[in-house]
Amino acid sequence: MSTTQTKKRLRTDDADVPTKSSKRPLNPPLAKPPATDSTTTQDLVKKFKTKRPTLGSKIAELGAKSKSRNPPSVPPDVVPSVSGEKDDLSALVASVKAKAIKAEAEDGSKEGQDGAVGETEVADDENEAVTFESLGIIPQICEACVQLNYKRPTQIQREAIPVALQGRDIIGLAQTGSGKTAAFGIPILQALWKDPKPFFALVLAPTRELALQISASIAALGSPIGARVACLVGGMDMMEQAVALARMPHVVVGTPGRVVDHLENTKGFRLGNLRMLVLDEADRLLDLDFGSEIDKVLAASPREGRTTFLFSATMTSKVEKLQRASLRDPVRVEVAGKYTTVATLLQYYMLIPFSHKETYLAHLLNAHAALPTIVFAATVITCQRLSLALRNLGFPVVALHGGLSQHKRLGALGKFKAGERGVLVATDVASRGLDIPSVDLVVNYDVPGTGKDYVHRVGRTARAGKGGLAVTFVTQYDIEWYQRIEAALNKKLPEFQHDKAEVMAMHERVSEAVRYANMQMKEEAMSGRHRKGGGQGDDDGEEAVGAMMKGGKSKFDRRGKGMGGGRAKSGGGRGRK
Amino acid sequence: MDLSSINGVLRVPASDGLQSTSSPATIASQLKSRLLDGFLSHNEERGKAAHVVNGTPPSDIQLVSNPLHRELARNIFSYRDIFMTPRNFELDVDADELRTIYVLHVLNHVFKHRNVVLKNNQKLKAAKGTEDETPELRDQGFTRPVVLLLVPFRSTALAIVKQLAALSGTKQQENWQRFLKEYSSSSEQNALDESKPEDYKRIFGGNIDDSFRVGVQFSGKNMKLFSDFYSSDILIASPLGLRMAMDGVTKGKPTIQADFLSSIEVVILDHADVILQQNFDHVQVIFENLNTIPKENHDCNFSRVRSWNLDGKAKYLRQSILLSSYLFPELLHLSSSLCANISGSLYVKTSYRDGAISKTSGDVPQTFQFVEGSESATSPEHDSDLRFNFFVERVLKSVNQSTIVFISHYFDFLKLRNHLEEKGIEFGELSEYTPGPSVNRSRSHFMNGKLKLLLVTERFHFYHRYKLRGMEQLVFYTLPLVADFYAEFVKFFALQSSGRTVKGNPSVTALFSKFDKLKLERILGEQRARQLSKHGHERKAWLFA
Repeated sequence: MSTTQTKKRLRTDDADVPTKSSKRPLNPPLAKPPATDSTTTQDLVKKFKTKRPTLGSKIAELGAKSKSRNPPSVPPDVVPSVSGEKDDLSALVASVKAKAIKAEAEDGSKEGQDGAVGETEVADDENEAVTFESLGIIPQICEACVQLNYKRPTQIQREAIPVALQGRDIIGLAQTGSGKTAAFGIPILQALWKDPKPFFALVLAPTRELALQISASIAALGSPIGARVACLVGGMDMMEQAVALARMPHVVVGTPGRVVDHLENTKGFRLGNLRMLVLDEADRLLDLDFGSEIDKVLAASPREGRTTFLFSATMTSKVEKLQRASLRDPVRVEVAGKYTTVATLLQYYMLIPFSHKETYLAHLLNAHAALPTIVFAATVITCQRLSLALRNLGFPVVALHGGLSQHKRLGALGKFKAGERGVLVATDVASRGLDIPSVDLVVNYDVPGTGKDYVHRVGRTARAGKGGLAVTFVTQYDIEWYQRIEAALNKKLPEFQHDKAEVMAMHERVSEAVRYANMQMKEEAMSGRHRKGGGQGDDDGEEAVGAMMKGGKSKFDRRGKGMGGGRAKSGGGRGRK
Repeated sequence: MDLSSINGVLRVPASDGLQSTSSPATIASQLKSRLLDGFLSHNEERGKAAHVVNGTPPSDIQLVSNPLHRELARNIFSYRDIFMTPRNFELDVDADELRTIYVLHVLNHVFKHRNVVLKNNQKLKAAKGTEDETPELRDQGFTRPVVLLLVPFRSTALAIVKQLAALSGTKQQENWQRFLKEYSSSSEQNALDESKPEDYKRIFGGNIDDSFRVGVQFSGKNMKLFSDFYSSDILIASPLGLRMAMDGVTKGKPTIQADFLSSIEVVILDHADVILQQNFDHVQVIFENLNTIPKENHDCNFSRVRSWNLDGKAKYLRQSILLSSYLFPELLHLSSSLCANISGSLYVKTSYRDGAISKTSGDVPQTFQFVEGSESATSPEHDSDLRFNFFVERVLKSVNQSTIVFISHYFDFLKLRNHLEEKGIEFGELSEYTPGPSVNRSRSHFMNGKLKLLLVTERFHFYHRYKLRGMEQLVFYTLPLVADFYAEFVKFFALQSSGRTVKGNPSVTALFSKFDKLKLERILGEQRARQLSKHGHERKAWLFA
């Protein structure tokens, strides 16, 4: 936290909060220690019910502490919805408090994004003084902001927009979930208003989902001034996008590969008149993975008269990388340090044996079953295996990874966003930028590759001033790696308290589910290969994976009944006696 | 051509903005000068030289002498839809003139369109070198073909292409020899039986292959045949040939690949009645796929695609010209549901005063029998079921002489054939799929009286026009689409059959239902048809003698 380099002011109490919280008991008392080793499904369900408010209460207490200057009054009419037992009363009170705080935070505004909890009063006053109008934004766009419920500019917006309106190049650094999209979206639209031209701006993002999200929010912001936005992402119909390009959109949002594809293959799409180029999640885009595509886009766009913005929550420091983006005299706008996370986020690690990872995950999900959760895994295969296993255990899981067709990816994301499924198992494709406000829990099933990845992953929760919990699994093999991340974060995370005996009670059931999931995957891989008669590149893989998912689902249906009935297959010696 | 029997209905949208209907521009003023010269010399060759005073444009009358065609030409050049149903092979001269008019229109459209594109190419080229911003020029569709001509036979395509070459004033025709070789008829094909009716000889006179497609490309003074579809201006095809070109396979599943139809601006369906005898479903599929947004880009320059193409509204600016010698439900459906030209449309329809029955001799009693119960039929399929039941229960039992059963539709034929086979009734069959030897056997056995029952389909008769001898009784299971076939069949009674005497007690029974109004009109004349369809379910049967 010491690296915080806020331009105007330091966020004074950012650093204290996690320390404070780490002094408190980290895990509220569990309902009851398991009486025997034999735990039935019913027992588990009961436990999960009684433990549901744990995270809420934790966040609430945290909130209450930092807000202690004016404690929220508990509305008398709030009836606790969770029926708990007597020893959970404290937790209930806490959840009620949490609701009150939540309501208060929502009463406030989007500025809360930076921390309705953590900010000093001085900052609050200043926030209130700054409005979109006072930043020099034209009324039409201000109107759009009002319609979108952006009440006051967030910190990054306050600082980046005036600079951007001067036409300077920007390197913008702000925490996850702090309103970066609007910070570059608004200047683009305002410049467009002054000089409307087709293919005025290009926004690049590293993942398809993120690009779709950005294009949706720019379209919303730009609707009062009639801005046309086209979104070019892979996995979708080329012709539809070509037709969208033929309508001469003002702003093009896309992933680098597809944008280059259109540059090369769609006649009539040129970037010769490009005035603004934005690289969102710039550090990722400037990585070598996107090297040739970014080079091609840069080559196609004019050097003169182009404004370039780089935005990210984490920024590469390597000068040569930034030079590739050919910035001219850029202004560095930072509202947070290199690896900072918001104060409302509680972060823990769990040191667990490698062989019991799935069991711990199941336990954690069980304990927080009502909370929308993202589980990050390192590879597509792990992702599939986990989602099948969790599904076999009866969790409402969707998977999101690069092995799925774009259609399925969007479908999975949609289901998770809509709340149809409570758990999203994803690879790093979901780690950046996605704005799913409801996410309460992030589990790093595998230790992230870099400190940056860590920051982005945990940034999926605790967005826009809300609370959130992040737990990282560390096995005996990951310790050194984990320590490097801690070093990058410059912070020691507390350990997540848990009852080992209780976790182990689930082990047999979980390992059965995992074994079954492995079997399903093998079967599907076999039948997939058999059907297609030998692999044929990417397409084949996709099909096979798709089939895998389908197969998994149907088998789960069958199996699900068995499980629901009690303990048909996996029960063995266990079960209620 | 008897013009008194022809009715026209012009439908022009009330909303203005478009050229008003009151005084359409003259034909000469709408034609490009290069085409006008070609047209004048074409007329001259045919002995219709117009006395054109140098310097003044010829009037419409000087250009097109037939008043019906003149009116058609004006509407065609105004880009209105034309639905015309007195199109006739019988009147050779007129048929040719109508073709000349639409070929002229097609050329005119292509040249105008290409000119704009070429001029804009120049503008863009000029703008490229300078600092000026490139202008936004939207002048084309997704793909190059702008005209689609659907015709039944290679021979019709040949006639069209010959006229294209003559009228376009092109100096050079690429692939001309190959085209002549593939599209004209070989000598043995040409030898048609002299005893066949005139209209048959005219329809089947040339190369009657019905699976072909050819692209025509114009560039400067050059006309290229067999050009690639995506670089052609005009596509000429039979419905079958085009439909086969549309079949694509994506990931093992059959799909329709019709990107070359995405930007058609003028579509002409000539001799729709002949195409109906081939397979009209293909036409339906083709029309459904006109003006859709393509699935691949085919090197399309998107910055020049017109906004109505992008918005999927191109079908409202497409001109459709449907020409047929008679009206049938499929054609009506095509014009009402798949043609949506905002410039309006012209319906031209023959009115039938006497009908084909007037060509038959009066001494054969002809009974028109209403299919009982069919007034409650909910669909043509239902009607077909009711008709089958009625025929089997009421008509078939009364058959005791040598009888021909005429069936228009192949499915009805199949249903009846299967029924007869099941019941063990002996019969002969003449359908479009009957092999030659079997046809000959059936014909001679029927003539000799060995076979008492002969099923004949309309398509069989259309393609062969055999004279069937030995008939004592005639039943029209369904009325023929081609009204003249009615008279032709009734005349079979008068034919001498060698070897045996035909009983002198001929009778005709024709079944009809409420779905047969158009056919009745052509056979009985409009007035009688109206009566029959109005009182059908009350009176059941009419006798004409």
